[in-house]
Amino acid sequence: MESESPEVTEEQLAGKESEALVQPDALDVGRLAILASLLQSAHKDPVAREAIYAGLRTAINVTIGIGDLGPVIGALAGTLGMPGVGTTIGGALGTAGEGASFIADGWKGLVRSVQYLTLGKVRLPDLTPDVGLIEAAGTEVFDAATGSMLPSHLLFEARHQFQADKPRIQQAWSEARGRAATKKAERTAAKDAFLVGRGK
Amino acid sequence: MDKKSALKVLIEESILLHDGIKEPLINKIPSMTDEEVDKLGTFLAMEQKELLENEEEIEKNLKALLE
Repeated sequence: MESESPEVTEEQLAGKESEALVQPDALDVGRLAILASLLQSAHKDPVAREAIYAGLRTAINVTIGIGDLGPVIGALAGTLGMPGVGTTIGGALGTAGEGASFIADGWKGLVRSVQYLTLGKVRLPDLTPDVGLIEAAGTEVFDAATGSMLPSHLLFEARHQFQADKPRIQQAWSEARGRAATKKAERTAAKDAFLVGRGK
Repeated sequence: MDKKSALKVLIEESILLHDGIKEPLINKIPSMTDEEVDKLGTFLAMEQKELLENEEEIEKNLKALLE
């Protein structure tokens, strides 16, 4: 008996394969949905939200700080007999770090000006909200005096900001752990109200 | 925990339900029949059971995703 199903050409098969390849992994989509949901609920909690911002600020400030170490890395590599490494990696890092540090200070000036002119009603995001403008701009003097050998952003602004952010992160972490334990007990009791006695 | 309070918790904690429909559903609980509470409650309890039983695995996968 002849089969009535239409023949599938090799081209069509190849098409199906490539189609299958671009399908998103269902598991990954599920994971992303859970992650989005968790971040969304964390964002609603003011303590958790502040801690998320504090964590992001710390990560960005440390990255700028590492860039700020560029000239030191370059000089160190030069002393160790690797001048090529020093000029390329150290130079690139240093330029990026110095640039970012400079932009961060300039941005802070803009943030504070807008805040002042709008009587505190408009608050733009700031990488170092607990560091004053005078400290941020003033510490650049050390950069100039040492030929950028002193990682001023890391030593002053980033360190000062982390000192202010650390208790926020710790508080959110300990509150989140306590809440998670209470929530878990509540979720278990709620689930049991419907499933216990049903053999599920 | 009575079933209506349990249903409220399960709706709040569900990750399957969109945030926009959670509040209307919670507001509807007092007027729901026992059968309706049982139906929705059992469905959401199954979801919660999966989440609670696989919490470690979900956490592990989330960490892998974030790294």
